[in-house]
Amino acid sequence: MRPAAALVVALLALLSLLIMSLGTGPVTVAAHEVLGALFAPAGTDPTAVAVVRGVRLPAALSAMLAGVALACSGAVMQTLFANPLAGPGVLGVTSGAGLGAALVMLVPGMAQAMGVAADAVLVLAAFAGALAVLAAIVVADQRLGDATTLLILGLLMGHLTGALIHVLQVAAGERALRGFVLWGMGSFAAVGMDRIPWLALPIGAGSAMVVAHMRTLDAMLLGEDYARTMGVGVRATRTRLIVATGLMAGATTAFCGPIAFLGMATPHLVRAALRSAHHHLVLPGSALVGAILALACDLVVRLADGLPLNAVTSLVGAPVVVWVLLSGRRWARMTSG
Amino acid sequence: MSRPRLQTEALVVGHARRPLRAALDLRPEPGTVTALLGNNGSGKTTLLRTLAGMLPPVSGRVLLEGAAVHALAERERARRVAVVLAHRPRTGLMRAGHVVRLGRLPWGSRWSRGSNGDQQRVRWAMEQTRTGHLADRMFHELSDGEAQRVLIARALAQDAPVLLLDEPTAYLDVSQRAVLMRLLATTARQEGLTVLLATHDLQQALDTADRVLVLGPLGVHFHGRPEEAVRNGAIAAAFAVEGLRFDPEQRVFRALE
Repeated sequence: MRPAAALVVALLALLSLLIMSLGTGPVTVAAHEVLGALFAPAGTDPTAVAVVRGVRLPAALSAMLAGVALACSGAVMQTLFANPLAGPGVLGVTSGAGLGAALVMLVPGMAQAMGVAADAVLVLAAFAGALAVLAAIVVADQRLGDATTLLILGLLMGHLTGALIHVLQVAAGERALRGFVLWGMGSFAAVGMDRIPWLALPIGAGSAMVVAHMRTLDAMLLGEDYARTMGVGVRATRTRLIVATGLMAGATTAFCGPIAFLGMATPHLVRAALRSAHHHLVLPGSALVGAILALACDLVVRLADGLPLNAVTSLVGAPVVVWVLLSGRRWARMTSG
Repeated sequence: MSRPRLQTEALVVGHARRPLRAALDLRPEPGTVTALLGNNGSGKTTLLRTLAGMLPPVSGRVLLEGAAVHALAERERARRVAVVLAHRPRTGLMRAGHVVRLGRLPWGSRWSRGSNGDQQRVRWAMEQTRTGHLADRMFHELSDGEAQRVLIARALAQDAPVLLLDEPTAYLDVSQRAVLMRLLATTARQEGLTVLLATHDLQQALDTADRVLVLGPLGVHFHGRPEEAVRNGAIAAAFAVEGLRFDPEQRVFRALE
């Protein structure tokens, strides 16, 4: 597809999905009322305004932000590690967030001891967990300087935090456990309007860092050796991009819980649709398609009441990843994996 | 156009515990092609990668325009030396023209898509390598010969006075090898580039290179004009294998009768 045509299609899809998403739920709000609630709240039914602005807009915004963050992180990770199966969680940053969340939710008295509102504690702890793993990975990267070893280390880090979470689960009480399982299902609905800036800030910062590296990322597609001969400080670049993607994925996981496959699958769809791996196309494209897919998954969650978000994103994302695996030979020919 | 050259001072390359050879003092002339010859394991690639600043020397120094290559920042180094590696990179869905444009990376700002000067240099590099018609083709769909010329165009676009190539003719058929070697020799002369290439292609190297550096198990076997290397037996000695004899007329090894 030509980039300009793809952009128009994607923007239309995003807008119509957004209007649908804002109108769908226990109270159905018609499209014109959705627009009214957004742009002319004075002349619109107050219930519609309250529902659209107060409840559904923050959920839609957090879905779009999460989609942007996860898809862009995935695209960067896939280039950085020359691996089609890399995603935002590949270095264990999202499982770090999980461990942080588990600590406050499963250890009795932990949240109260910190003396903040319980849901704020959860977000802070999850983000702290993500940052802790991120810091460990960056330190390791300074020492190792080799992408493959780092990838293995990240996977092990994920397993380690997973094991720690299991240990905490065994010791936890039933109510706490249920809360944690709910968090693990993922949700875009939990972020209130007042929290949106706190989600947007790290994602914006991470995106800006990634955008500044688009040409460098193109050079990385030729492999680290070639990138080095073209003046790329490979290790410093990798560290900066790991921090950028860690901020984006960490913040997303902290606010919305772990969300599977979206980050890994979206960039593949974009590359296939645009027939290009150039980052000045893939990154904006991933951001846009990531936002669309996240909105769509959220819509499915709300239509099929009670379905966990994580299951929906997996149902959408896993087939894409399977498709990538099946066309693995083609990928192997095209990339330095 | 005379450009400051590549120079090595008492350079020893290889691994610290197993240095490959005695000290090298090289000073290749701008505008010439030097071919590194030698059997597998003689250290051609190691030497090239050390010259490119990708491997640290065991001892001694590599100077690019007077500055030690290992002390240069990556970007500054890339402005002084361009490299074509032995393996063909797998780029993903990238067009050949974009691969060439990446050569401008050490010159451009992080944000710009390229100045007029960049575009001119890229166009010139693609004309020089006759790759202009390939610009919109996918890199991974190109033949090996086309891909190699695109990679060289990328290196020329980098506008560095020193160009290093590792086995540039390895996967090419005979006619393409000759074309490529002539291209390198012409460009070196026109632009005053210092070109060093490692190759197994003895015949092409002896025909085209201005200088040959013959590496053997004991170090540098010979450094000088190719005709001289043939005449004084350096080639025959460096590649000596039982049952083969070097034919200096035809410049090939033949089985003994």
